[in-house]
Amino acid sequence: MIGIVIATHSDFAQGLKNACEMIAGKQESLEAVCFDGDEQLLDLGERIKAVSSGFDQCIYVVDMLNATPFNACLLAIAQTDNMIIAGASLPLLIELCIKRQGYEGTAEQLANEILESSKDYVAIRHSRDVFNG
Amino acid sequence: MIKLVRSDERLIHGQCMQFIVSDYSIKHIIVVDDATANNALLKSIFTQAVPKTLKADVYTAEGAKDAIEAAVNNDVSTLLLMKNPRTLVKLLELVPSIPKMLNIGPQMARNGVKLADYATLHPEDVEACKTLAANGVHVYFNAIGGQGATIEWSSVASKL
Repeated sequence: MIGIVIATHSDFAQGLKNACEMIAGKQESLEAVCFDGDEQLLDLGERIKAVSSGFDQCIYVVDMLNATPFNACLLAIAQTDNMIIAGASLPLLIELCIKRQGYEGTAEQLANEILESSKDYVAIRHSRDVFNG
Repeated sequence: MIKLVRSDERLIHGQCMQFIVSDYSIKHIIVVDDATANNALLKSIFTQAVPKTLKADVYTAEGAKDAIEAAVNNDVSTLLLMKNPRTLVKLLELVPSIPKMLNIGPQMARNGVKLADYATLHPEDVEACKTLAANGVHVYFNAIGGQGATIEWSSVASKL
């Protein structure tokens, strides 16, 4: 199964993992790496590399593009053929966890599928549209 | 033209950089950090981390002189970025025409001196700030460059 590493600022990654498991059930090969501010980029990169070392294929999920957890993931995957999804959210992680079960494509194909559906994750619903229609 | 001189331990990263680039209309970033300049992997991470409309270069302190002088004298809005205030002390010796300002952003020295929520300075950087202020450099703390709360060095220096 494709492994997932979530890396974020503060304990968002662990919280996201907890919330995801509440909905999608206990997950294997799902690691949370929390960056608490005073860790060096190179050290964080090593920590991310270590938790993903057992995964055959891996998708990295970070909270923000170009921020420190993202840069650390880049360091971790520098010598590999791999990718990072930026913009971690609960629907994104749940979709990843559900779709990777028995997935027959590559991690890259799965990541691209998730990117496509993630465009619907952020939405506005106004009360007047819901109740006064 | 150097629009902002900033010290940020994490250099180019995330939303901070987006705010600064848009507030100061930055088109060029000069990063001065020996460790990053000497590590090809780190160098490519930081130079790719900027929007396509922007150019970022990474230099060692010794190697930055020409690029900084050019930036002082041209019309390109430039951000001069380093990890800590110590680097600016060194740079001012090499290029005295650098604008006399220093915005201190995130600094997370272990066992350092906490001067703002996001800024805990290494004791050597506290000394560097004293030197800079004594030489007429406007030193201030602001997590994201210009917007939001600013703390003046002069207001914390009296408590040290």
